Amino acid sequence: MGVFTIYFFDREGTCLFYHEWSRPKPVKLGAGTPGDDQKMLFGLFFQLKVFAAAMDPKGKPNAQLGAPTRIGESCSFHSFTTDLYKLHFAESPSGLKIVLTTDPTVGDMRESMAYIYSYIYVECVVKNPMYSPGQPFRFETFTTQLNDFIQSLGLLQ
Amino acid sequence: MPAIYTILIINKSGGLMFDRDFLPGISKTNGNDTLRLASIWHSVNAISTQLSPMPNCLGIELLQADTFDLHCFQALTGIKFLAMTEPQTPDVANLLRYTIYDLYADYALKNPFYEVDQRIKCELFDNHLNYTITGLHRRWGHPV
Amino acid sequence: METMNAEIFTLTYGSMVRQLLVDTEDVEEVNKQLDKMGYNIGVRLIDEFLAKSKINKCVDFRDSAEKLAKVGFKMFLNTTASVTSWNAEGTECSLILEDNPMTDFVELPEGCSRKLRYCNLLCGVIRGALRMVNLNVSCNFVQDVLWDDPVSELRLKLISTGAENYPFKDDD
Repeated sequence: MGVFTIYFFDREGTCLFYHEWSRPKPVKLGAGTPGDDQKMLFGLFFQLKVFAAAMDPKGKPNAQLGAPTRIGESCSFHSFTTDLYKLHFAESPSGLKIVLTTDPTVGDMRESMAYIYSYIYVECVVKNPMYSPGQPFRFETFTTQLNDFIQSLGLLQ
Repeated sequence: MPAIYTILIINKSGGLMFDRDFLPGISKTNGNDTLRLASIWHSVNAISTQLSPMPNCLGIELLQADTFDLHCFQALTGIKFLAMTEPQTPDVANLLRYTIYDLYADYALKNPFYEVDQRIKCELFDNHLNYTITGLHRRWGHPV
Repeated sequence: METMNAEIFTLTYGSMVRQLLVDTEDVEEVNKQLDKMGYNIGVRLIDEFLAKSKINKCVDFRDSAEKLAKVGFKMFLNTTASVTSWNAEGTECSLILEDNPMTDFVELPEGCSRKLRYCNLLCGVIRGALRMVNLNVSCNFVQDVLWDDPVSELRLKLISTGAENYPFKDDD
């Protein structure tokens, strides 16, 4: 058991890509529908970003809680661990957000997620003429390269 | 340098029971915001269990951000003990689970004038907690 | 990084502008179309730029303009621009292009000089790319070597900066 699911969101909250390698508790028992699951997850990490920016011990004093901020401007969380899974979060300045869930023993995935963004997403999606920004995508080259990369990290069964 | 910035205790409905900063100079949110933060944490915890890809998830134990780590210990009674620390501070989970939980059980719960689930205003609890945390900071080399 | 012959790019771009002129017969319309096309390129190009340059954050608009001129232009056009003529508030500046591969071998026909913004695609690209990092700018050519000016000068104006807002309504 290594990796569970991956999501790609844009800044409007549209889930551009979702893949599950393993999900013992199906979406039906969680949020209900995939749409609700994705929306809930978007809301979750949005809240966590607000929370991290407000709690930041080295941040601006008296920063207003919940005020919209720019990406990279304040402290942001990059992962949380529960007893049964770990969620990794990464965000590019262009508003693309990647969420990866893995088992709790997995270490820091920030570099791997940066690799996924720079070499898999940009190469297979952004440069693909069939891609319309803001729309969910499904490209075989992307899925294959993503799977190969995750496998090379030793996270696939 | 390892450090513990803040300890927070939240009751099972998300209400803030206790919050205390331990290092001078850290940026402080105002009182109202801390209440909102406690309830944000409560709801974030609940959603994280709902979205969990594995069944029967209990909740967030560690949140890692750029400049701090937030450890959470959830007791079986639903009370959550949170510690905001410098990243890579060792043994915080044990500190919450054993030391601070013990202090709570002794100086808050055993205090006949303390109302359960309300704000903790017990001097003995404050003093002992302060003593424990400053002891740790001294051991880690902080100027006290 | 892979390289290719710049002439293919220059010729392709030139033939596209020529075709647009023939199709629309209206110089202003061509300018608008070039800007729109550039915008669509810019919103995608920003990810490539961020991925390859590994830039994570610009401190202020001056920093953004410098990175655009030095890193961005170098990466995609293999030429650098210099940033000059800042206004007092630091929200407007000029990017001076000494050498622009898009305009090699080009001579504008009579009647188009000063009207056709040949490199307007570039303005659209900059606008689209910066829009994706929450910087709303306007970008225009005020001097162009094709109009017999000594250099090509792009005037970049910061209109507003956005912030990340929660996109869903709370009562959903």
